[in-house]
Amino acid sequence: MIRKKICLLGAFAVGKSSLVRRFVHSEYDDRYMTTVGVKVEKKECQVGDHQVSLVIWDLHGEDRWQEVRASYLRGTAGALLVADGTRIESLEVMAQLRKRLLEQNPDAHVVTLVNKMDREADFAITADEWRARVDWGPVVFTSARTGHGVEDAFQSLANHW
Amino acid sequence: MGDSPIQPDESRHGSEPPETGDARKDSQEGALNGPQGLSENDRWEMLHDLLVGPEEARIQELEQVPRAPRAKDVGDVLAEATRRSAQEGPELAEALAPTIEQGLMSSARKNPDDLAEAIYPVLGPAIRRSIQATLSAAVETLNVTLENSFSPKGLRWRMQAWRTGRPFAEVVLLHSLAYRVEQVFWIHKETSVLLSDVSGVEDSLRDPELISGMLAAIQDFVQDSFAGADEGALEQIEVSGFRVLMAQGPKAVLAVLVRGIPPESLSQNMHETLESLHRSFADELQEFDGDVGRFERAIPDLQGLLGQGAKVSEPGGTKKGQWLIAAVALVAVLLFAVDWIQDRNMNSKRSAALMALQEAPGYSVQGQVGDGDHQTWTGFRDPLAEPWSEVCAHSTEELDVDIQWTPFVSLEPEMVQRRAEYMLQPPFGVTLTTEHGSLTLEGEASSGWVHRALARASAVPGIGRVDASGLVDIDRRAIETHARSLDGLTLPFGAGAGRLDRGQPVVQARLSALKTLDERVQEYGGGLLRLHLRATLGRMDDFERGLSDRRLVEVQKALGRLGLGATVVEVLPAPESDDSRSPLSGVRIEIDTLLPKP
Repeated sequence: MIRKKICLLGAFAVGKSSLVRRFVHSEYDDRYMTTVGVKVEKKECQVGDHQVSLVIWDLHGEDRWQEVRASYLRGTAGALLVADGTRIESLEVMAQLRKRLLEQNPDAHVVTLVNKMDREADFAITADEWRARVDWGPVVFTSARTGHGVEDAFQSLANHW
Repeated sequence: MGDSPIQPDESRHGSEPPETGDARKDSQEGALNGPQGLSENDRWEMLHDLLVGPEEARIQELEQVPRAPRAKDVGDVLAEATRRSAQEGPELAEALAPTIEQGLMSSARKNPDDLAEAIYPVLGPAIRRSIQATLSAAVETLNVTLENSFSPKGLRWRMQAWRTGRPFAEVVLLHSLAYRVEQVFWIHKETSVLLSDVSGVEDSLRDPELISGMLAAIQDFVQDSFAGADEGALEQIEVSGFRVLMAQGPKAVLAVLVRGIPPESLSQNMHETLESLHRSFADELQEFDGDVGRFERAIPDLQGLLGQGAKVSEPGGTKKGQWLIAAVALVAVLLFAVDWIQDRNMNSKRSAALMALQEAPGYSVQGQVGDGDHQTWTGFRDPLAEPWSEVCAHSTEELDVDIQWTPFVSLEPEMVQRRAEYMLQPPFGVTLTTEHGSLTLEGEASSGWVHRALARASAVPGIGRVDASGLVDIDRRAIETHARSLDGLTLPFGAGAGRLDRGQPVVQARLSALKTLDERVQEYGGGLLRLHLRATLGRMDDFERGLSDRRLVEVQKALGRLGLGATVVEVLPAPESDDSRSPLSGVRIEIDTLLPKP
């Protein structure tokens, strides 16, 4: 079995914990509970003929007062970078986190998510504009509320192994 | 040092240059003009010596002086030279020490990780030895302290120490340090990924991967917050009854989940195991790419930690353990209470049974042997006493009592009465009462029973006097009544007839009645029927008198024909006066019944 550590990175309140909860437990809760530090979850994915166990580090959201600790990123094999589709400022935070991640783990695989697709009408910019702004790779649009794209996002990361 | 071989040569040339030049010239001239006996070769040789001899000597001297060592030359002999030097004395080590120290310090400053990793296998045992020494000292101190302690538990442990030959303090520590290793995690340090794990508890609900992940996260947090990225490490976490011990290695971390208070030896075992794993999986750890299947071979080593934890005494001091102890204590208290209540109930039942037996006629308990669980009672019991089930509410099985009765005859009034009834078996209609040694029989009964009862009554134990005045023999009474009804009957004769007409219905009926009475007297047994015959006369003349004699004989004959078995016939003389005259002439029969007294 392959076992990999992956991280969820993004600004605060972009829906990282909700995405993990949707992916791991197939649940969603409307209440917002901020993550303090880190919460570790686990999910096994089938990739081809073998299984990949994802040890998911759901890290606290980054903002001007709280920066994600470098030690949490150590040894990370991959990451889901998460932005809030309704908040354009979350893109900048995501980009910063991506940069720090790759500085520390040059070989880390990254999948970029724009969350809250169920509120697409409230998006700060259109989906195409999101795609255009994220210049380092493809974007997966997700909704932790509906589950849209969540499985695909995690699976696409697991497929690297 | 390199200059010294040249100095003597320079001093020699410096000190005598003029003389040497003159001497050489004289010598050369002498050699050219030397003795004529020398051959040409010798002369050439002499000339050669004169011309280049000093230079050759100098060259030879120079060749004997060691050349400045080259690196390659030193490298070839350095190992051997160092070894020889070490054998000959400490000078080389002393000379090299400052240089080596400087080199180590420089290396440590430049790259501390490499140095730490290099000396890690050495560092572990050294630290352990140090800890052992410290612990030994602590144990000695503890031993001295405990020597003065005195308690039942202390005495027990002291006995164990004496029996096993172990230090007393070690025994105390063994008893005090109760713990259980429940899970072991081997975690890759760089990626925080769980490499392998084992569990000592069945159906553990704790996911090893999540635990290892969180442990790694906590460790990262602690390092960031309190120590610094490269210094210090989390060694122990306590969470509600659990203790997580962590041993840090260069590439991996070993964490064990312990319930209770582990001994120092567990930490030591963890470090030894971790070092062993680092040696066994050096390549796999270095090239770890997430494939944890390569670390399955580590499971036996990890299981060794579980086993070591389990061999010490049972877990204690945890909430679960306390609950278990409390539950056991509660059950014990309940069992004790139930037992106590049962004992109390049993004692109460037994007391009630004893009291009932003491009050019951025909019982006498003399002895009571046994404990609260089982008892044996001994005593006397009248066979006619009421059965146990009528006396006691609980059976002997319920009371858990063995009974050993000795039969006896009780003279208690109730038993005298019961025995009298048992022996006499009074029929319906007869009342039997006993009081103060006297038996009173009242009522009506057959002659047979009356005879038997009166014969047996005096044999009833406890009976000294029998009062049967109120007892009526109904058979006797019937015979007497019958006899009275027939008394004075007359067998009639015709006028002037001397012969009894037995075919006359009256005669037949009266003879038959006499026959029946005779039979009843015979049945009664021992009785006698006495018939008095007296002729009744119509006139008081001789004829009549003669006729009466014939008639008496006639009646006797007739009675004789009846075959009466219990009857005696007696003829009375005819009356002398007219007073006895009867209007009906014939033979009058008077009856006396003589029945035996019971």
